[in-house]
Amino acid sequence: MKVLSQNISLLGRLVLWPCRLLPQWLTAFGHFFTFIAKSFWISFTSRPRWSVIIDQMRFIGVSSFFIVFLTSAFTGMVIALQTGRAFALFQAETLTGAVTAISLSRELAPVLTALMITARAGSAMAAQLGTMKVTEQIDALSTMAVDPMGYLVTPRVIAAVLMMPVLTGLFDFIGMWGGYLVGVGLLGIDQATFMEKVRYYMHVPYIVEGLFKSLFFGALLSSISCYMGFHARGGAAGVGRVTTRAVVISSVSILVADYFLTALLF
Amino acid sequence: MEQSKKDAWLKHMIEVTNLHKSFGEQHVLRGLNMSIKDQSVTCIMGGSGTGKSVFLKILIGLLQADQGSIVIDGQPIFQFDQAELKQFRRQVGFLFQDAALFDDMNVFENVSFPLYEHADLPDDEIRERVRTKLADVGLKDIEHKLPSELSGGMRKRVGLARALILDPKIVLFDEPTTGLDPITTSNIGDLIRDTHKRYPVTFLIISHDLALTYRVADQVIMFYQGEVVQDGDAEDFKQSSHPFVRQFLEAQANLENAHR
Repeated sequence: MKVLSQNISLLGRLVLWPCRLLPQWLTAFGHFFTFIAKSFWISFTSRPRWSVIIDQMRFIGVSSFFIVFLTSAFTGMVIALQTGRAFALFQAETLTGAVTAISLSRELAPVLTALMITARAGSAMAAQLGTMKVTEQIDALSTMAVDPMGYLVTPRVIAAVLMMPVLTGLFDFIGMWGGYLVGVGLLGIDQATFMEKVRYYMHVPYIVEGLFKSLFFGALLSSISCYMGFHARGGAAGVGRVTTRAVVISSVSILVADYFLTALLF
Repeated sequence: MEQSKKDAWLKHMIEVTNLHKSFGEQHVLRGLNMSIKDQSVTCIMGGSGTGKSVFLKILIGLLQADQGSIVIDGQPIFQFDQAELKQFRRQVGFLFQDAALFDDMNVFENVSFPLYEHADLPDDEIRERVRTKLADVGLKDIEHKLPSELSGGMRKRVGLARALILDPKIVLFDEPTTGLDPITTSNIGDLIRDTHKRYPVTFLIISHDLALTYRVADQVIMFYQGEVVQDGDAEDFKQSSHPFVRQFLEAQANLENAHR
């Protein structure tokens, strides 16, 4: 009897737990969407701050080339290696190139680039803005009659949206080279057949799909990271907390958004 | 001449009526009333957590009051729209507790920032103004240093130069001596007094530093539990019979005796 009542109470708490947190979550979502809406509104209504945008493009984009280069080369190589070996079981290893090209351009390039940029640039955005918040630099901007959203957030979002497709394109290109290297060089697939299958199965819309998703991921990761930074409180520990949260929430959101974008649009 | 000077003296720059602010259950400001004269130096005193900083943030529009009004230079500031608020903020300089300098910018970029944002001036002119303002707060040849390379006192000076760069009508100081050693504290007192001689505008200082207050204040206001319990000149303050003011003064005296 006691066990039964304990179980019922546990069940009750399990059901009630989300109900109790729901208003909190809804408020947080509301705040976040107002934040995004405001940053987009500013990007359309006021003069863009090109110097800040270009600075951020350099930081998000150019400085990430090397890390994207490494990630994409090895991603392409490992896909070619795995599919090459697996497809060899039923004599279809010539399709290795096509599989690599399609999975890179449609999924892996945009998603992995977004995750790497979240780790590299999103964390930096959250930490920098978080530090500015707790040291009152963001308040200082307001008191000097400069809108902190327009000065700090909008340029970062614009820069991320502009640079993500570039980095994703780079990922596609280098990743494909990695796949070629392993497929033709290591697994000994005939070079002409490898390329012919790629040409046959691969289509431009797949690349467009990946690039389109990357635009969206750029907006997502930069606005989540900036939002977290803007809501830091409580000194260094607070900055650490929002930085972690920025990376975790951005990464999860990218994966969730990726599924829904793919399901709804492509 | 004497009469017009007196008139200017009598003009009220900031008038606060029945100001309330709560954070959740916590009723921080419980009906503040005060008026602050133009061109005067006013110190707002009070223990920690008595709502001094909250009041300052409401004054500059970083926080919203729940009730009451603030009239500055004849304008009720809670009725400002975005554009008016921006215009108003250009006329107010704010020196933050830790100066809040932008740490990715050097001293010149920090001090010139409001000019590049709001004044359409040629670069030479901006350079000259920054140099003058830095000289006014006792600094030279540090334009290329980063805030991280400066001492606490120097950062405050740079912060003050930045607060003064647009020639504001009001300058707000948030705890200007907190976290500084006694010598630097005394220097900051001199700095505020000298700066006020050079720019005789309304200075509003939030502090719990009695030495600083006696050194610079024309008017001393004491906050206690979200209300004004003492408002007058420094002499009135010393003579005040309010129990909290007495307690505050005695605590300070004990502290000084302990050091002797």
